[in-house]
Amino acid sequence: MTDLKSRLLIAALAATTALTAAPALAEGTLTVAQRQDPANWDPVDTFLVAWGSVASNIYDGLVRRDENLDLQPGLAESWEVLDEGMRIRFQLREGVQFHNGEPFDAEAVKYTFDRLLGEVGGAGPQQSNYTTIDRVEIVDETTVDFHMAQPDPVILTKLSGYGAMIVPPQYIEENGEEHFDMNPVGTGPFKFASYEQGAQIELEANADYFEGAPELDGLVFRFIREDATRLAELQSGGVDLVTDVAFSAVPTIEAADNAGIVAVAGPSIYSLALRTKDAVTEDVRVRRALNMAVDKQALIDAFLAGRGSPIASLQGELSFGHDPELEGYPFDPQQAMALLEEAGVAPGTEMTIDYRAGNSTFNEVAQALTGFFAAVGLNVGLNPVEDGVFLNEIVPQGRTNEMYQFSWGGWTFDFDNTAYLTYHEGEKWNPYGTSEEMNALLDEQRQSPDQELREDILQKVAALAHEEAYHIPLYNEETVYAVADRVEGFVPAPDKRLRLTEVSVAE
Amino acid sequence: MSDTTAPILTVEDLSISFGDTEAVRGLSFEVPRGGTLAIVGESGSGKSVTSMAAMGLLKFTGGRVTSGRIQLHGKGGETEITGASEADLRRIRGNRISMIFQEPMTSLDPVFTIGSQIGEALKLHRGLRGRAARDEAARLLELVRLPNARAQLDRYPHQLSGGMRQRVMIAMAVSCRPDLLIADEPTTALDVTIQAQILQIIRDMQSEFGTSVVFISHDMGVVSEMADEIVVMRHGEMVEAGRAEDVILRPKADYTRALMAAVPKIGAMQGQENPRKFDLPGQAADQTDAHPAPERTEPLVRLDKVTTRYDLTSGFLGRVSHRVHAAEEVSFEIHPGETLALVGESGSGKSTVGKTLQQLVTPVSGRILYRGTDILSLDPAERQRFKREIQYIFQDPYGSLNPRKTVKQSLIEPMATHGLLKKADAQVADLLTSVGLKPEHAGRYPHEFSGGQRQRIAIARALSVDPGLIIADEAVSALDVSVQAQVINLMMDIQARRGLAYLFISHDMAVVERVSHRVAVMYLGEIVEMGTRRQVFETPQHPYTKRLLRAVPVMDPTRPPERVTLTGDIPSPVRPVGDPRRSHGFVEVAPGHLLADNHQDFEKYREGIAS
Amino acid sequence: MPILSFILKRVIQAGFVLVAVTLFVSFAIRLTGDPAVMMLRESANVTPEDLARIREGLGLNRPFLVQYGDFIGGLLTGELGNSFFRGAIAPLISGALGATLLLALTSLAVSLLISVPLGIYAATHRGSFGDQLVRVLSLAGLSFPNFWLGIMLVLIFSVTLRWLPPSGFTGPQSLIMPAVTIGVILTSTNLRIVRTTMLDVLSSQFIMVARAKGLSQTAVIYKHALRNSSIALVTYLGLQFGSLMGGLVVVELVFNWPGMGTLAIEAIAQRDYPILQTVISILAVLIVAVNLLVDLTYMLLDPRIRLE
Repeated sequence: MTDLKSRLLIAALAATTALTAAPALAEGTLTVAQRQDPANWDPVDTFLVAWGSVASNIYDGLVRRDENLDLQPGLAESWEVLDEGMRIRFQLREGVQFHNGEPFDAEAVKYTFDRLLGEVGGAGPQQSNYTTIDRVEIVDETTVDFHMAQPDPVILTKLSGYGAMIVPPQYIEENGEEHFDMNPVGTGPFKFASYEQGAQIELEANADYFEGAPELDGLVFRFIREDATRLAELQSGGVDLVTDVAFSAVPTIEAADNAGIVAVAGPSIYSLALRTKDAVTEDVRVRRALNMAVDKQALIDAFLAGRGSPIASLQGELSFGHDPELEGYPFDPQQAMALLEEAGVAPGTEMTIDYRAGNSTFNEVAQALTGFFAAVGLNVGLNPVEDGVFLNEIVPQGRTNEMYQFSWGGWTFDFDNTAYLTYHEGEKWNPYGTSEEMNALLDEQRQSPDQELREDILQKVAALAHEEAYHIPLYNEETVYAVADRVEGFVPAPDKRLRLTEVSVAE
Repeated sequence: MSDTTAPILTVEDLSISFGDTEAVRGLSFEVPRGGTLAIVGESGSGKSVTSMAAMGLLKFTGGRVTSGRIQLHGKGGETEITGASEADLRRIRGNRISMIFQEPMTSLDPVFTIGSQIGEALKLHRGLRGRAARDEAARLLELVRLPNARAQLDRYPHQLSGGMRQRVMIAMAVSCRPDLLIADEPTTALDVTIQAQILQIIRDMQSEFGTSVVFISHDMGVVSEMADEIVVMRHGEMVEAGRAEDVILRPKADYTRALMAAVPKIGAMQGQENPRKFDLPGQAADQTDAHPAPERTEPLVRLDKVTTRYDLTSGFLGRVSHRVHAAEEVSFEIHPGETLALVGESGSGKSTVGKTLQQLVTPVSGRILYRGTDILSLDPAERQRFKREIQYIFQDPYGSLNPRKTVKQSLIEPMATHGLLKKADAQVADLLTSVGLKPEHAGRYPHEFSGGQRQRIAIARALSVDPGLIIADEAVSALDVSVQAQVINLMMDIQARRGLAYLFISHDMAVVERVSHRVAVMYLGEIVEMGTRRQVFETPQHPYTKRLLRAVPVMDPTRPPERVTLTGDIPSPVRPVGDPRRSHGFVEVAPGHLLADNHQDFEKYREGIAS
Repeated sequence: MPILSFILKRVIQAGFVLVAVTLFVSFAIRLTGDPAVMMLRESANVTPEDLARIREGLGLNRPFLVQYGDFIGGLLTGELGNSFFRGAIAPLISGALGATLLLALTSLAVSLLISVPLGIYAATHRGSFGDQLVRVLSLAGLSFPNFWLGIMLVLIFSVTLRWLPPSGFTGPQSLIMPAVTIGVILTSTNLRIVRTTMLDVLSSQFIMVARAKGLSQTAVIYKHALRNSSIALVTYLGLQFGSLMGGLVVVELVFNWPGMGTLAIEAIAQRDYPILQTVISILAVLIVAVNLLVDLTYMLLDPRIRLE
């Protein structure tokens, strides 16, 4: 019992010091610290995950994707895929109002997509994700038809985020685009209250939210660029939730007495792509050998503080198309050396890894990889490249060395996204080509509205890619949040979008 | 004029230390009421330190009184200075005892006006403020004969010449009618005509206020004009003390006698044709006209109408608006083995002539002929040879020797440059011996030598390249008299031995009289009179030459100092562009004795520019 | 008027400096990356047409000199225009500039309040224990990297003691740690400057003359010596300003201070050329202006300069 007493005493002391500390947190308000200020709140203008984490609380889409990545009704109560995927009919929710009191109806849906696919959307980065939609037709006040330009199996997922967020037509027409961009209005669980560029955005609870008012009274997002400063804020009680936690900081937070780590498998995967033409890696045996040379779990333990999982294909376990049966190449240096010998690769053969210079974690990983390759007798060098050059000139032009970084973090969690980009003929992440079989598989699943069939095909794609060893798939990073102990009911979203309707804070 | 019945200041058994070094030992003297006590000595004798002790300022210099007493018997009663509290001392300083310092250029705070600096003392000790203080300050400046006194109050120190600043210092010092005025080398940094004015003003103040004076100086001529009593100090101890007349005319101590012998006395060379060395104790007294006369054949150097000007820019585009007319149509000749002295005051352009000759500055017109060759028309490579032929010795030997090089390195460098290096060690040893130093000094650094020794090294360096002419620019001015005499003797020995010519640039008429064959007097960039030493010194023709000679203090305590005009500064050689001065011609008043043909206009002309 | 012509001269100089600096920055940042690529880097299915369309939308398809000319034109007419990603530049800049100046001036004031009295104390008590202590402390202050110092302060005062907010700007208490971080470096150098110039001035003859007048130590130090030392100090402060701005960037980042440094870093990350160009230009103008101010102050303090 003395133990409990002393703890109470410490808590009391902490409470008094917290009172003297300046940023005493308001009751019922949760404060989140994230790295970046997206600086625009208009859904068509953004290209940042940082936008998603904030704006998911302000806006709704027709479809909502939950924390398990399952699609749920959003502003549409139900939908039907018709005409072989060429038309989708949505039945809209009734009685919903935007934060400004403007009613949500079929008109608003049409306005949203006309805007996204028209001139306004054209100036931003979101339009290109939705070009498979040809037009939106109002059937009646609560029914709309999406007419597709081509079948898009991922379109429903895409309608749950970013550019597809439903915006208020009257409000925008009356106040103008710029005003809307700085004073967003949606239908979501929180209303926009104030925004201070570069510093923070404040939201307040929307008591009239169609799924019921959120637990919290208010939500504050603070933009803090430095990793260490975000953590200091958490430790000093200035914020409750930190996103974008650096792996190196994980042990510190695990040891902290007022906060902990909450993590979930995230969208980002890391791999090394292998040059399949005009290089020693042309030989599939060499590519397999390289795969066997790497101990993925060791990398995860050393550089991700254990917060990741090894992958056998270019996707994580939450991805649509993930095959739990597919096993990656084992870590087996002996066999790797045998394969290299068989392929006639002499010990000491030189190879180079091209990688993007900006990411400090991957820089360390790349260093470690050279060690693994050295252990199987290869002399591998490193070539860090600046992002712009890497993305524009090295990869699409086929000017890479034997190995080059491929990492991807599509928020849709659909393997199509990654696989098409890396294996289909003519795509910019596939400069050296794959096979006719591969192209055919990818095209086939794109045409099909049948999700089961698609999943089957995508698993075949993964198996084929594994067989050919086009890449060395390394790991799937977890999305790591640091959460103060007073936060209750936080369920992390794998896609880094925070939707904090169920969360509350203890006082 | 002295009333020595009751002393104003009594110093008894005073000893002063800086750290572990004793600067003054067992010093005792009395300052006669209303009279002047001069403390005479060379550098390091402890004379300045003593004056700081009398002001109670010693602690700010890092020194302390280790024994003895200093008592002020002033109007306000007896005060024991060494034991007084800082508060008491502050009431005395500037009030009962005040002080004039040696360096007028740095004695005034550059960022406050003259008026405010005088006002400080008036406010502190006399409670005057505002208008009253201003009126009093103006009155004081009038008292020291500063022209436009009231207007000067709002000016800043840098706008005033050295002489004017020293007048301000005096006005400040006498502002509270002190019982005692301490003047520490008050005229050493000033030109001789200005020195005469300042000395006159100090005497006037003394008679006006009945102030007693402690006059500290190394210059026996000045002391002889000012002192009622003299204390001679050396190495912190008193060597001799007594009435001025006795000490000057009948010195008892050996040191005093040696000091007197080393003092160049103006007029002492009357009737002598050639320069003469000083009779220093321990040196063979070679006599009468033993110094060789120059060869009157082809001149070694001839300057033909050399004009050097410096541009002054101003305004937005850096346009040249004014020019310093530093040297205007200067012509003279120097023969082998001859010493030509260039005399004049600040701004006369004498150093510019030296620098032009040494090719440190380029003249705007004129010719420089060395053994008949026009140096300026040669290409740079050929000119190099003439840089060797003409060497320079500066006033400050410490500044001109690289402190990080040994003597040997400093001596070898010019020889190597001009390809004269053969056997370095032997050559260095020879050079050092020839200037009275020892060959083993070669490995030492400049800071290990005294000022006189450093000047000997500078001379050795000049000699190392075997020049025909050495330009000695105030080369002995910074040295103590006894050392100065030794160095001058050395230079004359070398001239006799090597047939070297000197261009001897100096403001000191007495030294010039001693060393020169011929003399040129410069004023505002022009030569106004030139002739043999005897012609210039014995029958001066130009009014300026006469003024210069009259201003030189004479070491004759029996003769009362001559009154001088109290106003007038040295005019500036800066003139607006497009307004060159009308140059003058010369008349030959005697064979070889040239005189500016506009000499009658001098006084008028001088006032005109000065105003 | 020589002062007017002096100012005119400096303004013209400033113009040249501005053109050179902005030209360089505008050119250099375009070499480091394309905002369109940055923008689309997380989107799948990016086509060259998308890139071209965005580049056109941002006006990046025009020749460099045209873009630069537009920028300078805007700068001269006070029409700062829009950033690529963050709306109008003018309010961004005014907020950030205010925050940066607040921080810079507070640090400067704090550092002067500490360094002047301490420097004077050290100079007037040369060789004493206090003097030694001041010298050791100023050396120690100089050897802290400012980001390290900032993080240490946060760990002590925010994380452990919870007295001060670790970042952002929520009130006067937010100013304390950033200002102290910069102030420590400034104080250390200023302390040395004050001490050495004071020592220098105190050994001048006019100080002895002032004492010989009977002035008190206080009058000698605070009237004569300080006024003369301040000339050197002001010159030094002017020179220091550029590096102060550099230090501010780091400190702003550590404390998430919403100033010019944070703005610039953000703009670099996004390759938001217009913001970066404007920030750099304003800093250049500021540095030139501060130096002009220093020169004018110098004239005010030193009659030798004023009257020539």
